[in-house]
Amino acid sequence: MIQVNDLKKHYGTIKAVDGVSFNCPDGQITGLLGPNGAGKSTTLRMIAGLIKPMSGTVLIDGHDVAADPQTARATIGVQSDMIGVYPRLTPREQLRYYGCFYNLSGQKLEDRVNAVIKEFNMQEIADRRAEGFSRGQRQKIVLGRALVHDPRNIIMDEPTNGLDVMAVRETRDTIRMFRDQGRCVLFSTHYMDEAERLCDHIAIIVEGKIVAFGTPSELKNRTGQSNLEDAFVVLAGGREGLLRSELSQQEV
Amino acid sequence: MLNRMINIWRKELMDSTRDRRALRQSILIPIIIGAFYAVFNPILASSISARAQDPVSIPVQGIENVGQDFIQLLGQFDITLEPYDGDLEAAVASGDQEAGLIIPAGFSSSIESEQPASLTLLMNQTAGGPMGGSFSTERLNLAIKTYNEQVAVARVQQRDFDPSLLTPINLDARDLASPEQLAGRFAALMLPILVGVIVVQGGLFIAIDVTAGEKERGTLEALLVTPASDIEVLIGKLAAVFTLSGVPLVLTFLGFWLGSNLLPDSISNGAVLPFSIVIVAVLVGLPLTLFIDMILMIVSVRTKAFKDAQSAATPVIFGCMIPGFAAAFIPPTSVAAHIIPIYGAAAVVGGMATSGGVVNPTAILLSVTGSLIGAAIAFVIALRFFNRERLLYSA
Repeated sequence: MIQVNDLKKHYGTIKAVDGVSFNCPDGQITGLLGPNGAGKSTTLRMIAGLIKPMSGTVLIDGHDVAADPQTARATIGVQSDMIGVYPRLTPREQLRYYGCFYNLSGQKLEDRVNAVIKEFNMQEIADRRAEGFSRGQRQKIVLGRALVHDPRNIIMDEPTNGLDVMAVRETRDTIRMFRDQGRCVLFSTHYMDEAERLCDHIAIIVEGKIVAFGTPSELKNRTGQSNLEDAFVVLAGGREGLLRSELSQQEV
Repeated sequence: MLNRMINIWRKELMDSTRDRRALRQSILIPIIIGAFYAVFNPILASSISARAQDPVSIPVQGIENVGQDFIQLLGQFDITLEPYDGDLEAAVASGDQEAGLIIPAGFSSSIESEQPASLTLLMNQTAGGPMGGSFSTERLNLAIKTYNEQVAVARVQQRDFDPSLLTPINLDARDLASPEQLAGRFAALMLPILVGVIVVQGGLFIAIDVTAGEKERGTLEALLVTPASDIEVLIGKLAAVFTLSGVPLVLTFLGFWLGSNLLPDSISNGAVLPFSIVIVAVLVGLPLTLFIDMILMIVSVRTKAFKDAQSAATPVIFGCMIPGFAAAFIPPTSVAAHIIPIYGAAAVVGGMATSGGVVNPTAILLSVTGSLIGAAIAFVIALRFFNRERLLYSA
């Protein structure tokens, strides 16, 4: 479970994240939905311990990310928006590398690596160097290394960005699988249909603030809109709100 | 903690050794540089030595004005006088001839009548390559000096004076240089420069690859969300850079020593570099490598891409080479100067080459201390940059 409480991060006069609070329960998918520059990635990076917040707390399974970062990081798997891999290493070697950071070794490590390779259907590419892999293949490695230590909490930053149709479907199936396995899934997106299809709860973030939180149905009912996209535009402050958000991102 | 550092070290080694570009840059090029210097060193020495003993032919105008005794004496110095028609001064000035001699009319009669006789020696020290003209003129000068002395002795003897009056000082000059010292004569110039070049060349590519390269590939964020702490990431990566830059350092000096010692006697003239130079070069080179690697990592980690890091590291390359050159041409006058990183290590190696392998423990200790202090300071600075937020977003 991920608990975010009053998280703030300012860059000079720009309030990238300004008092964000929400909870992501286990066995559910929580979506962080917002336009470009709304503060989604900064929020996720603070949750992952990559950026220090100015104030506020993040608890992951009860571990404070600021006070005990190593324990907190050991309980999460993070798939960032950068899907870089090591081109001279095979997927298996990359999974072993990341597994070692979580005190996995010997047969236990090999078992987890094999399980991830099977889970993401990577058997054919597992022992080939990653040089020249397609974006979809690299996405599998990225997801695999986030999962190699079998974390209870998974954070994904725009996981379907730039993928082709088949890879998008596979990734969405994977996210559902994580939920079905009882994991806590938090992911950011700016695709409305993706959020509506996948999320149990959605936090709408605009200009660094959570402007709404609820199930997709709750958000639609609250705004009186029939689809999430229209509900989002209303909650984000209309066209002006979205433009302001994009401008603040450029300033950051 | 140790496991995580070893994990990073092992992965970086595996990754880098699979990169042909990295291997070429970090291992092959330093070894080639070392081997080149090793072979170049004795060949240059041998060539200079051979050149100094080659027969010399000097074009001369007015050969008919000297007696046979003058020609015979020059012959004892392997100098042959060749009559020359044409503009001798122009030929020497243009470099066609290294030197020339103009003997005026009446030269022999002046000698016989004990009157001052003049000779004109034309020379061009740029002719025949960097050390060309000097060989001819030095030998000719020596021969004429000897002729002068012979004539003076004969004149003094004719007057029943003791010829020893002409030589108030009898200089007994002996060259006591050992074969090791002779071998080190040129090594003393090359090895200090090599120290500066190799430490920076060996670590440059790897230091960039594990920092800016990781940023460029987009893998750094994934590494930083693992439980590895900032210091574990720094030490793990530094260990890999140090390993991969330490190996070429050892191989280069070993190659230098082997190259110097395996050359045939006809080239090396029996001069051999002592193996202790290799041991000391590695001893002072490894702490220096640690220091330079740290600086390269600090510079690289502040950039976002490989090419940016290469540009940013250029001043470091020069910063490492200049003290090496300084040590080669301006050896330290005080042992305390060995504490200066790079300069001290280069001076230790150069000093050993000059002395034929004599170890100066104080100089070595100071050099190692200087490098380690530099490395410690650089480590503290590096820790400031190996902070998750700075690593990801600084450039």
